[in-house]
Amino acid sequence: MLRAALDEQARPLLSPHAVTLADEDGIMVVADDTAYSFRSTNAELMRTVLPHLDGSLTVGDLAGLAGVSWEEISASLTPLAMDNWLVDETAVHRARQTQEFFDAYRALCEFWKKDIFTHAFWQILASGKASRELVLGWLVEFYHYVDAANEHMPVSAANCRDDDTIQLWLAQHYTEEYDHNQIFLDGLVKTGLEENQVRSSPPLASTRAVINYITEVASSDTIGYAAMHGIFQTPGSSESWAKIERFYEFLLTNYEFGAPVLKAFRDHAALDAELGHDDLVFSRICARVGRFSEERVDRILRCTRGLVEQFILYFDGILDYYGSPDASLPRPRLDVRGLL
Amino acid sequence: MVDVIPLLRGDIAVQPRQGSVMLVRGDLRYEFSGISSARLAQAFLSMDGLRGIVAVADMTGIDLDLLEQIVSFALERNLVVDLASDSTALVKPSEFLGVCRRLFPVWKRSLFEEDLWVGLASGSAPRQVFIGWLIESYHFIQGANDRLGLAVTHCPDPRIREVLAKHYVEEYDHGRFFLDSLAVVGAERQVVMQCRPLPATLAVLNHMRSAGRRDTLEYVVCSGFLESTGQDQKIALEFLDQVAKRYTPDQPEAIEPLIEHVKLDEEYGHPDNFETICSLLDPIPARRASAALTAGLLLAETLRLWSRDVQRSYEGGSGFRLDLHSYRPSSIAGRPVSRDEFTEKVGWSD
Repeated sequence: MLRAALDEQARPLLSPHAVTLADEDGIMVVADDTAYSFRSTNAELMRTVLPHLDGSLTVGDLAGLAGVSWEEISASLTPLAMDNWLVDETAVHRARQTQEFFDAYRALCEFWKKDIFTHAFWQILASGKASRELVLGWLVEFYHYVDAANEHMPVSAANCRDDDTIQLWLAQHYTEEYDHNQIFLDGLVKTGLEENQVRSSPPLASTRAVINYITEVASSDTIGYAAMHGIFQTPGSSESWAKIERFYEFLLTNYEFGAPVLKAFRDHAALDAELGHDDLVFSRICARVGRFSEERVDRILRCTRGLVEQFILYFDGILDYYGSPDASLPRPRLDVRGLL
Repeated sequence: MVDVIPLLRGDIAVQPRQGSVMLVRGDLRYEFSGISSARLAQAFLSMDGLRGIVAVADMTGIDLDLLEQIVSFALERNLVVDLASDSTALVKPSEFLGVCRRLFPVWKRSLFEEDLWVGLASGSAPRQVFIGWLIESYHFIQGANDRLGLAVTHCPDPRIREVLAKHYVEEYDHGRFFLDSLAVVGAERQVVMQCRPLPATLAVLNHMRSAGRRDTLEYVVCSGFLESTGQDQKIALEFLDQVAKRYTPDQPEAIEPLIEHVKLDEEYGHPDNFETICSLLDPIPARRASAALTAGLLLAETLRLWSRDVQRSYEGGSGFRLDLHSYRPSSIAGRPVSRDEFTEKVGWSD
């Protein structure tokens, strides 16, 4: 399970992407394509509680405000927590057991991922009306990102010098990933782009920023680096996989010109799952290390949150550049000989 | 002619028109007509030094003989360079410096057209953006310790390392100028130091670090571009004067540390370091020179990203802006703080 239970000490934080609507029948919290309806006494309770879901009050405090038991508050908020629109940010700090910590951390990752996947870029893509430049531009930038596994993965192993076992896990992960760039490159070539051009095109500054960020963490913080892969982990449930499959089908139907590389995208996700990359190196590290110190937990969260923020800029950059009618696809390289 | 690998010069704009294509280079204009303007434009844009003339003809469907005539004309007028005949592929440092001197102003123009700079100079940016700009500039300048140290360590040439080391020694504590300014406008020193930098501030520093590790020349171009943004002391001081008038009219001492910083950089001669280092270089392989220019271009683009990030993150009046950085800054030194407390501590209240 990806969620931590909302106990009396939990401090619930509602996603900023959830919108509250109220009328005489009750209260509705709308997040993405789901509406959570609260009626009669539940609506009264939510009316009191909703303004305080900013992570500052405990479930116990909220119960005091609403004049109900903490279990009732927890039960009312559970549907939002189940779908990761609400999280207890303190759960990672309060966890006593390794698995408890890992589950709380995964819940936080799923919550933070919403900041990436509610980006305007995805809304345009999901409308079926994104331009060829925007779709292929996104895929070219994604190629650069995948190609950069050859920057951050080897350095993560090279700099992990205190623990041979973890170093071997990181190295093994790299050996399974180092040539996956070719999957995307082949796909891009099949859409009509030239291999040479794609390979030599400079990534957007925002793509470079994500790569540099990951490489910096890989160079300096083994556990932070392994942990932040949680942002990319695909949800484990078959229902979530079905949703992802439906999205790929939608993309393939609406953006036929990008089909070869979109298929590569899907194949890569399947390959990663087959190689067991969803069984994160981090989960093995958690089991090996046991309990992390407070300071270590803070660092893990800083690394991960930092990556989410870099990915928001990444999609800003794609939308800014490839959303413009002047965009070159791929971006032209700079050659000093054309400037002398 | 079939062996030609054409590269359209980087300072030429391709402008498709009704029935023709115009190549524009400064004041010079060359018009090509007689065949489909879309194909012709595609042909020029395909001359990227990665493919031969036959491949360009295949790609665009233009008759090879005709394309040869067009390329021949373009080669004679130096609109296109033939990379196949470029056997040496070495660039003289003085030429490289010349290219940078031409590119930097173009990149600078594009950077300072961003809303942040226009808004700060005109006073149309909210006060929070002014404070945010000071905070992020503090992180950026303080970040000299993140980037310059790395560049010195990875520099293989002792003569160049000496220039970089001197620069570092003179620059390492310049974050204090921004802390001093921030203190005057009411931002607590400890709070500013403990705030996490914006992701784009981190992106600028990480880009410079990456350049420093990869190749000293990449770092030197990036640093040269940075220093060039303050090279015209008169313009920099005029900008700060405008900012002072708009945001701190009753606190003349607020902007003084920043003025002192600009003057000190000039006194140290940091804007001249780029030229000094170029004079120490041997001829540069074209591939290396191109990679260094690309690093410079990406830095200029990252700084535009920075300008937008500062504007967007602070203009809502709170670092708690929920659309981009939902939790920034939700804590100070690990302790959760309320929005009101943070606002008070960084001097956002008018």
